Amino acid sequence: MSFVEMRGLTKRFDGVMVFDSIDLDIEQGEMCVLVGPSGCGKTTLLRSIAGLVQPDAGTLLLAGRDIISLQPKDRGIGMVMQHYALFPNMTIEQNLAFGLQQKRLEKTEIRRRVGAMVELMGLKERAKARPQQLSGGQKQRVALARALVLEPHLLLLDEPMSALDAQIRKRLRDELKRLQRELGFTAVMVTHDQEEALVIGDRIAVMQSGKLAQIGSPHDIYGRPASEAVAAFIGDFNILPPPTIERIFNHRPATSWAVHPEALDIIDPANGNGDAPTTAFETSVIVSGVKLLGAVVRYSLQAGSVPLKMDVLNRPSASLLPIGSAVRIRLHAADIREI
Amino acid sequence: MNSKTRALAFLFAVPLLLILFLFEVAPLLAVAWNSLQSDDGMTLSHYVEILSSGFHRNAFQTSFLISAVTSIIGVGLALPIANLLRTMPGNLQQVVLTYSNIGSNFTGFPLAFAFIIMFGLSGSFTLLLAKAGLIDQFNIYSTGGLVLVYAYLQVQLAVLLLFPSLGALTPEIEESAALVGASRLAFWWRVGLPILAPSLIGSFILLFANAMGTYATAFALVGGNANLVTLRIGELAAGDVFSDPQLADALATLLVLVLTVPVVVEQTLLRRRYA
Amino acid sequence: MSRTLRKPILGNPAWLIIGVFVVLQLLPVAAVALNAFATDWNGTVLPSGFTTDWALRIFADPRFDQALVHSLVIAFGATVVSALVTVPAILVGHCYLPLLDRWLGALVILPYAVPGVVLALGLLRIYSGQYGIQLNGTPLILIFGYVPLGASFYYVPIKNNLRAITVKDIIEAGYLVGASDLAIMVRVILPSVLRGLAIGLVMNFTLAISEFVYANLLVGGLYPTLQVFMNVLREGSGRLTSVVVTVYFIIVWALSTAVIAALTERKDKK
Repeated sequence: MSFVEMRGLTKRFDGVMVFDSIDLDIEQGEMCVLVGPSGCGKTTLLRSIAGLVQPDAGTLLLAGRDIISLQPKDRGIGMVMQHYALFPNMTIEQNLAFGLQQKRLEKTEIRRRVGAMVELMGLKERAKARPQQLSGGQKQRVALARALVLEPHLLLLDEPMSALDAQIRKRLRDELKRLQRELGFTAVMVTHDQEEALVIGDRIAVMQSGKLAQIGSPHDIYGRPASEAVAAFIGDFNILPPPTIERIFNHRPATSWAVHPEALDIIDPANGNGDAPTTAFETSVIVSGVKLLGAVVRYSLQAGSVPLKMDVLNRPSASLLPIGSAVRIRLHAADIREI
Repeated sequence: MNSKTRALAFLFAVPLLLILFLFEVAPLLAVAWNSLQSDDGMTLSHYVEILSSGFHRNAFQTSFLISAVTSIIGVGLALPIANLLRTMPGNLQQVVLTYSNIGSNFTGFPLAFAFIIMFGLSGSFTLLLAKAGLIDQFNIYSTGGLVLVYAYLQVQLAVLLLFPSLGALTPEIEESAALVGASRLAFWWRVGLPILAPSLIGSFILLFANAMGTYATAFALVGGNANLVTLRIGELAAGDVFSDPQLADALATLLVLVLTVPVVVEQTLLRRRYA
Repeated sequence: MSRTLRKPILGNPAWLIIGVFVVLQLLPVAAVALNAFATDWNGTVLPSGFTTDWALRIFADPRFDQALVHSLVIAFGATVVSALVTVPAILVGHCYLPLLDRWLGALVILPYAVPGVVLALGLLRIYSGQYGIQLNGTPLILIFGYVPLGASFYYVPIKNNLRAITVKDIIEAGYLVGASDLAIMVRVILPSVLRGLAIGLVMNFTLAISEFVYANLLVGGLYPTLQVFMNVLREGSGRLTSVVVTVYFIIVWALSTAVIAALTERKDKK
């Protein structure tokens, strides 16, 4: 029995299917990331877990309890909303205290818990400030603190970092991960940013048009996409249908291939590698574009009329391939994903 | 949010709805109903009487004219004033807006009295202006006097109505216009006024309705001497000589009908603005 | 962020124009106040002398005290009742009942299309006892009658406050931390509209204390207000009337300034 069990969750709205027969298990202390393109139903699913939306069918078990028909406040769930929704008329401390007051805790206890949380989140200097005076990152921390101070069984996060700029986002991502490890809470996070999903998640659930396309670890999802749709979303695959593969590599497989850009190698003509043809495929390409992505160089290649993407590490010592140059590239069989 | 919450929420609105019905809708219906009554039962005779009477038509015309003129003056003066006010520090803005609120409520007898002191036959300003040779004499107890007094109220009310909507003209918009080489005049003509147009028209309509419905101020200033719709209504309702309550009600209902049109227009304008 | 160049105060036409505007606003009041303390003012630009005789005479007149008390009772009564009745409806409409919200927007505008004179006629017909309810002649007709007249003064500023916050998200955030709808309304939504509420309170008070048509037609001498008293006095001495008018203005001005000052102080504290 998992800590969180979803079975057959289904929701229709105005005749349109929002999500269909969702089965998902989450273990205690796990960070599960729900990822997918806009409109795939992930946010509505999250809101159903929170109790803000009533699904049409299905069960939802949390810590052994069936919570599907309970009010949000009775579910033992906390949530961080996309735009934080901090109470504008209250200071940070008051924002945190509000939920505790609803539980009718002792004033001293409330003060203790709020103080501890403020300290933990690094908000001590701004404790008496109001939301309007805070930066985006600070607001996000307050929203998180407000949810965590109630010690929920499950924490839900709705694209919590989408409103922040890139630098802050990276920092808060790591902070969130560290916090989750330290405090050991179970969480479900929704995001459309696949990089974020891969970094933060212990388990990733990819949603497509209201259905779960694949569930697995980041390594599984990234390395072994179950379908073309998943491959198109996670990682920047080269997707090659069989006729194209035949044209480029003189080999006709049964299914399409998904090839990571980093799976392609440049063959150094100086030291030719002696791999047998069945474990590697080679072809000639022309370099049509070069993009510097920081630690990685992305080459756009043309194998005849077929465009390919290739990533190589941006070694300071290596020089960039000039546009228009011809090279031979190799693809190891083990690196091919059949879809 | 379930239906139980909704039902409970509605309960909180009930007192207001009740009072609105009892003290706003019901009286209006009573007036309309009564206007159709006569000794011989239901009739439109009162309306016929009004519409065929040159005197009553003239009342509508005069009311209309004074209201329209003072509303234009109101908006026309309030726009530059409110615009300049925006450049003032916040505290001064609050002070001026507070005074405008008090001033636009300074209606009826107190106002008429004040203007009589200033502009009456031997009023201070009448004397001053006469000494300066600008005017011979000024009769405050006339349509001209009404325009002056109404204008005092209208400009202040207009400032209150227009000030919030001037926020739509952000510094960014003005700077963009300056960067493409627009003069102040060009800016106002092509950008500023078009952006503000819904607010300006909406404010004008509210001012117009406000002026059409003014009773106390007019009564205090000119008594029955000016031919205004509201004055005629008052006369017919409770006057000693002319009492004819049903005619009063018919006149009142007609006034409401006349005013409903611009107010509905103003509402649709508002909706488009916020959409 | 620049609003063109900041010119020095003395040379800046904006200050001059605003200054002239304020002076013009206060001119009528100044005229009346002068008259209240004038010994004689006839045919001259300014009064010939000043005295407090008139003021003292009015304060000694029991009718004045009575009218003053009546006006304050009605003004405070109307303000409190209208706030208690109108504000919850506005909040509830905006947060939970969109249909009500739309109707409310139309209903509060109604007094502009239906002038006081017209409503007064109707109220006269209904509440003079023909249907068993005798409200006319008592302060109650005024207190309740003023509610529709002043409703838009709550509606517009409070709606402005409400639109500035993401009400739906905040209510959901409230649910998630375990608060009931009532707790959210009272602890979060209501405090967020206090500024709008204060504006509404001041404007309703001003309305109630300045109103003449209802006061005269529906109540008249049975429960005279300051406005009615002024009307009675006008037959007689202008000076005495001026005193009453000046007192009326001072009350309104003092209250409005106090509330606005309290408002601005809170804004600075943030």
